[in-house]
Amino acid sequence: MRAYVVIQVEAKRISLERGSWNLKLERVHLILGTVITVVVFLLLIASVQQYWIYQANLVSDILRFAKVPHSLFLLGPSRGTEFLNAVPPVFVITKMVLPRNVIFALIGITLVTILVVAGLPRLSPPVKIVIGFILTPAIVNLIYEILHPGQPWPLDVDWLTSGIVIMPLILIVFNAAIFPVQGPLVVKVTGLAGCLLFSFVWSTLRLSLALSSLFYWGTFTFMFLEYLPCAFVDFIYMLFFYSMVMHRLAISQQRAE
Amino acid sequence: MSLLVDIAILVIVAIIFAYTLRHYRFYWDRAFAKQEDGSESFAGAYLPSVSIVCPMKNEERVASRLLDCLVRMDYPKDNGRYEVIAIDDNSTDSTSEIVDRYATQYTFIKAVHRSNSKILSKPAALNAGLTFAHKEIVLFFDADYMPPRDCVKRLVAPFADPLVAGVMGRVVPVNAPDTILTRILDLERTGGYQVDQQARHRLGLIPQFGGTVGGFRRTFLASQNGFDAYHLAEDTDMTYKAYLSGRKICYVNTAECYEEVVSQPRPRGVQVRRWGIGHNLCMFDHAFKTIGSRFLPFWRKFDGTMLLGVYFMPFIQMAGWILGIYSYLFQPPFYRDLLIALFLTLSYNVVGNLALFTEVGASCCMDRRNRSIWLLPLMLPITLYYVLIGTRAFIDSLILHLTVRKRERRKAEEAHEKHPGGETK
Repeated sequence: MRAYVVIQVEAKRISLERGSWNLKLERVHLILGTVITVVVFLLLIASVQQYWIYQANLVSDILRFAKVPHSLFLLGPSRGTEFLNAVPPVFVITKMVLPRNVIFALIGITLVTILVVAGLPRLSPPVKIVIGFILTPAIVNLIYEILHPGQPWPLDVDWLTSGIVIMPLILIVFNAAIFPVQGPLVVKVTGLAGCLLFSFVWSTLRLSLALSSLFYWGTFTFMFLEYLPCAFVDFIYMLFFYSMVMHRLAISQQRAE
Repeated sequence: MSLLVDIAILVIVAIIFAYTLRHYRFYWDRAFAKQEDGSESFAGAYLPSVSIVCPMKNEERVASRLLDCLVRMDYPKDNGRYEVIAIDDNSTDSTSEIVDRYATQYTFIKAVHRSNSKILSKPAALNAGLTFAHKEIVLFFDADYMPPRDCVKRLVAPFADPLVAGVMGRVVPVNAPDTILTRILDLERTGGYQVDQQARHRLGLIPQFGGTVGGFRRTFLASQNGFDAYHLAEDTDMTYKAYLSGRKICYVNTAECYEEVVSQPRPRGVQVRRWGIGHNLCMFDHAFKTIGSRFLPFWRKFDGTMLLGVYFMPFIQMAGWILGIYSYLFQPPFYRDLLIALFLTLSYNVVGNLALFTEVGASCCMDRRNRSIWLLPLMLPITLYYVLIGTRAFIDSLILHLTVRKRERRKAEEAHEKHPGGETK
């Protein structure tokens, strides 16, 4: 152990000058990134209706594949905004309504699970917290099911925001944290495009999954699937893309040296 | 009620957003602004007399390693310019013998033994060491640290500026490969020192003395009657005392010191909770003083207040989640009525949370640790863990502040009224 520590210490001493290093600011890339951000942002605003219609068609295809009966509303732009604020473009009615007794039983089971997990000495605290983080929405949504049976409100919001809100945020993050860093432009643009594409695919799949679960398993499962992965999963995949691109940039910097 | 909840959520999102912007400012400054040499360029030219205080409680495993490092230190040991005060703080293992052995072998090492002490705390041990420290500068190293040979030279250089009351060096974990937790803590340290502390130093804000790998002018410590022996965050407390008395702390990024970080989540939780309680008590003590200080310019006050609130943020985050659940259950479709709040919440979840990770990513890039960047997503469970611990720590500190400390203050005031000018502690 001691020898290992000495080696580590000596290895770190060699590159001590890193204390005053900084990253070179890529002004041209930053300007290009800003231009890309503005252009994509304007495109998104201009084509928000088409985006929703295209996505609704995709979701409808997936639902047809999953044998989920649904109504597809694709209205023209003149009534589009009014319509979209009322109901989502794809409408599904659940075939399963959980009886109250079952809901109370499920709440009980979830609470007991949380208590058992909390009491397990072998599980490390972060693992317990992740389990708690998954089980808490379950309880919240079961209570929601008691309070508002058969009213999956958040679907409106998710449909309105999915993909659309997250895209400007992805652009902002890439522009602020990736484009100014020294490294090949192609890596940055590919990373940004990949992240935007992933966000579109993910939001389409999420909506389809949520609607299928609404039909087959009722409001509770639908709400659980909607509530848990919403912004949280958006954050996780952005973090993955960020670390992936930064890793490539760091390697290219080292090669350049 | 629903309006109140909406307002509370918006306030919480606004506070969190302010912290997000602060982190991005730090990231941008550290990553792209030119880093001035500052005092680091004359490290080794300015060599004041130094006392190094090392508190050790049951540290037989690491005591001799630290003392070996201090013996090998590249600092002139002639004319009593360099002394090491090794404190055996009520140890029940062989730490006492190790300390004595080194004191016998080297004239510049003094052994101080504390036994049957009334106050069993690190600051009390430090105060005991301070009574034997007579040099110009006093530096502190915990027992599990490994200062390299040039560390002291680099740390004392900023004291050439008479306004500098204290310094802080960079802490680098050496046992990062041991477990997943040590790897994550390594990332945390990298972001915290390489970006956060350095940016605060460069921007003229408030870099923090972290209790070890740093120190103060002895005259300043004497003017403050040493550390508050009852404080859980004596380091933060002393940092604010320095700034509130018109002095400053310097962060020296090149003064690296190596440590072994905890490798299991449970002890880490205990550590963070203790820091959280102490830091929050500092917030209760110093927040209003910082805002009203006549020595601090606007941005230093702003950053100082935000720094004091760092361990209050987990509570804010938890409150945000609870209010979000309340809105979700009792006032749907709440989000549709408050699309701006939704946008801000989403922005926080994505951009806001990423601010911290951006700091870590940039610091890994600067440290040329390419593979470590892959581990960023692993920081997420630990961040959730900290929210829970931080919330608990805030509640504990609030109870402590409103009960025990209030009672102690009242007792002290009564004692002061009975014996004005006498000892009140």
